[in-house]
Amino acid sequence: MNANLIKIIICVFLSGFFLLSYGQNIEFKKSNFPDRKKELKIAIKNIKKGDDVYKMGRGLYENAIDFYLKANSFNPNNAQLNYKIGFCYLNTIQKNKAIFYFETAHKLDSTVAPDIKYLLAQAYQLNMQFDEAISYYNKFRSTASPSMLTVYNKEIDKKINECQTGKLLLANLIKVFIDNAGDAINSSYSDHSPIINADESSLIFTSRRSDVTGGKKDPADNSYYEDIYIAHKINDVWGLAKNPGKPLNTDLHDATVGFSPDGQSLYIYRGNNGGDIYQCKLDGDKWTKPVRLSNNINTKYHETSASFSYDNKKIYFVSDKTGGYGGSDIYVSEKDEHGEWKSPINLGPVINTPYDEEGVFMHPDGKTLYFSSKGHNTMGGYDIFKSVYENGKWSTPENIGYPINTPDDDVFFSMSASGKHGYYASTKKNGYGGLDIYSVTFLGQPKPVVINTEDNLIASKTEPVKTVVIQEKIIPQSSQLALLKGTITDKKNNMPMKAKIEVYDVDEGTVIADFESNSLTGKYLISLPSGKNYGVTVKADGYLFHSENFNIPPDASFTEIIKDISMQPVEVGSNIILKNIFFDYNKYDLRPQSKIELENIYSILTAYPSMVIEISGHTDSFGSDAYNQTLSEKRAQAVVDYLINKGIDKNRLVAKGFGKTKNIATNETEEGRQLNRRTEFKILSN
Amino acid sequence: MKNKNFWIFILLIISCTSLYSQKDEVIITPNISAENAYNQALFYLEKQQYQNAIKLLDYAINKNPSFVKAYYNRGIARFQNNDYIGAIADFTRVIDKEPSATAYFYRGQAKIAVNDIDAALLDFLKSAEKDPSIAEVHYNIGVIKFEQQKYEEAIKSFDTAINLKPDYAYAYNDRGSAKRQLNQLDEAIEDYIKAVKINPNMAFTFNNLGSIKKQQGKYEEAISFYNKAIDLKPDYYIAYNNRGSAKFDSGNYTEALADFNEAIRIKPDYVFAYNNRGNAKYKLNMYNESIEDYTRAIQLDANYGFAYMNRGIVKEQLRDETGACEDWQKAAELGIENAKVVLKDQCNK
Repeated sequence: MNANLIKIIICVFLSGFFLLSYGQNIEFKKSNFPDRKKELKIAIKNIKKGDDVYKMGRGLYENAIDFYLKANSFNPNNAQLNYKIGFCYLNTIQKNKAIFYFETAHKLDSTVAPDIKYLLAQAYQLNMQFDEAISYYNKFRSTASPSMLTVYNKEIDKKINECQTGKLLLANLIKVFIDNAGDAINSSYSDHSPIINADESSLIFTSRRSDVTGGKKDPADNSYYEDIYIAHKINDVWGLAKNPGKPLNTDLHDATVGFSPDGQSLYIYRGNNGGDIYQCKLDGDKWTKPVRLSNNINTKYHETSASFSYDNKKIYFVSDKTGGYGGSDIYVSEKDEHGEWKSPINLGPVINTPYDEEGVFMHPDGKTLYFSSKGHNTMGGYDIFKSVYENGKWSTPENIGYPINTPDDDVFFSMSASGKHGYYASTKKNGYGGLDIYSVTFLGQPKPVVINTEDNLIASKTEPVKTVVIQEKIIPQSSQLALLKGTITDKKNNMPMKAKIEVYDVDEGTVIADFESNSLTGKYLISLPSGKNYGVTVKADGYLFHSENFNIPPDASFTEIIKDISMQPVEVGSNIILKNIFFDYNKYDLRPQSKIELENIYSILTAYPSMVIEISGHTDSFGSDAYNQTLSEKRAQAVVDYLINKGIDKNRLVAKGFGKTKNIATNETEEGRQLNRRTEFKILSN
Repeated sequence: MKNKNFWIFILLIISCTSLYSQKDEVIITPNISAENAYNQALFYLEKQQYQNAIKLLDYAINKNPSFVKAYYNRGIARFQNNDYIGAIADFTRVIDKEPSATAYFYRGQAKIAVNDIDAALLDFLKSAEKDPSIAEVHYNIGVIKFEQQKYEEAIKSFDTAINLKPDYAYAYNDRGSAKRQLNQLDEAIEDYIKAVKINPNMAFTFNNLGSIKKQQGKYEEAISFYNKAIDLKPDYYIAYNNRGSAKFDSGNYTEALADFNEAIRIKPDYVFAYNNRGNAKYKLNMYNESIEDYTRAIQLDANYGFAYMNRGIVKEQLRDETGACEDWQKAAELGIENAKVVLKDQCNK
């Protein structure tokens, strides 16, 4: 029997015992209240009612408190009643109120319950009074029976360590602004597990508000079943969150766990089969029916949380299946060539601990993992940690600090692609009730203000030597990625359209990911982690492909690139710039990095066998006219030669060089010259 | 009546020969010799009446254009009268005719005054070559080396100055400052202590002691030395500013604020104190008031990059992201390295 189970049995036993029996101090007895028999009778009735409600489950503790408090107002000096009230408060969101009642119980009778000191320590820990908590944990250890110690001893060490961590985190609190997400998002019920897409334009979360699908309550905790809600930002303000209804939500628990960076796919949690992960996609403005992920991901155990990688090629998920490092662990699985999930791999002991891990979120930068854990250096319950995957290794998880983490459970944290904003659920003063969703604005690394003094004065100077204090270095911490987003439209009618977007590594010549724009809005969003030269090809049936190139250097800070793309139908006169055709400087040999773009041209010529095209070369204004003319002709011919070698009839291909005669941008800047140096594709007949 | 006029004439002659006019301006007796004028100039030099000395020496040089000693003394008078260009010209004439260690030394000092430091160093080195026994020459070489951030060479020159003049309090102070730059903090403290033992009235040395203790994180000792500096010189705004910074560094922002207030009261255009007071107010959550102080500092010195940097930090706290980025942009333009990092990190610039 494991230690946790023994502990639970002891707690249940103790709670049951002390809830059903009365101890010392001023007991609820007629002899103690000879002149107030009627009130005594009511008080005892209230205790009985409280006990009955208490027994119905944790979700009703709050209701039990109401009865207990009525009895307590009649006789505030009963140790056991105070203990019960404290215990109930400790299990609600008003945990801070537990301290007063536990302290009162302890003062009235320090042996009111064997675990009173332990619970008091817990209450102090949850209220961030760490020194008091440590003191009570130590007192509990020194007074507990040997049998209790065998169960609690290891736990006490962990709790004391948590308190020490708490003190450290409290002394080094991180600079953030925490804002309630507002009444468009939050309700008077519990709203939690928020996940945002990469550019923070959509927020998806779980709520237990009264308009859930089916409108029923879970008898386990007397709260409404969970449903998924979605909100979109309009002019930087959250629009009213909406319940998307069926098929996303059902009459039972439906909870958010993962949201793809482009906002087009969702992972959700459903309680069947011990708890499984499902996926659904946005088709226009409708969510498809959730599909259970394969058995490589879902098992008979509990799979509770999942996150998309930036390229949709990997899934990070949480499972408590056997064979891990203890409790729930985080796993990763990759898609095989058929798009099926491979057998998952445990992320290993750097990430997973003997305790539970939960709430996994992979940042759109493709390397920073946020997750919650009861292990590592938590300050109590689940804390949120981050770890970065670099050079084939996960970095030691870092507690993201107070005030985001608290001694209570902090689970589900999602971060915008820019790294500036995070979202999580918490209970705070002036909230809307229950758990609320909050946004966290990070202020970057601490920036110490600079003091200027005049030190080291030289005696002979009437004016002293002026010196300044040496600055502390700030390490950049913004996300290293670019967000590429925009709308894809049909050039003819300007209507948004669905198109396939392929992202590939130009240097490696490999396709990294493919996406689709939304069929209704034409919107797309792609995360491009820095350190690669990306080629992007947008394709749709009946249209010429569109190509873009984004070279994101390794040290590039977060940038957002808005690129609206107008797709040209396959018809005579349509032309595109081939942005991923590369030549060496002043040469006309095609570089190997051009291969994917060349293959795209080849594909379209194969798809339209009667199409005749013109490939034209263009230069900037540097160099002589004759030189530029020759270079542009040879470059155009190089592309044509490639296609002829691939088997395209040479009569379908025209190579033209225009030198610098058709510049499309200024030659005064490098950016302009770069635009001028280009290769174009034009349909001459079809 | 004729008798009366005669006595008035005699009185006028006497007043001329006593060399004073009613406004203490010398009136040169007509036709006196160059040597006579030169000798009279020495009298005024001793009395620190440099204008009169210059007038007489002008006369002497006019009478005798090759009068080297007159050039030399006029150089001294012009130097003392803050006419450094004139002094340099005079000492150059001297050096051309009769080069001496002292002429090079004074020309070097005049060149320092006009910020021609490299040329001054050459003069001091020439002076030391001609006569290596002048402690002040080595001291001045040390000061230039210090300003050129050649601290080890500076220390060698201060060593020589101290060997030549063992009670040279200034040389001890400055050697202490050079050692501090080399992070030889204990040795620096020894030199400062030696300096104030020789001359216990050097408020700036107590200020230096305070600053070195502050650097060591010994804030109470630092404050005690700054107190001593302020006792010696009650209007010592630099010491108030520095004491405030020690209190700031030790987390006592309220008392720091009081010191910065006092520094500003004494010197209302003291730009550092405005910046620092802004910092103290920021720490006391007086964000709007702190911005006013940084803004005042910027008004006083438009190139004060740190004030822009700090104001940006407070604007960020006030959630004025645009304003913060604008300030950091300006700070970055003014060469503040941290601002460049923050701009890239948080403003995507």
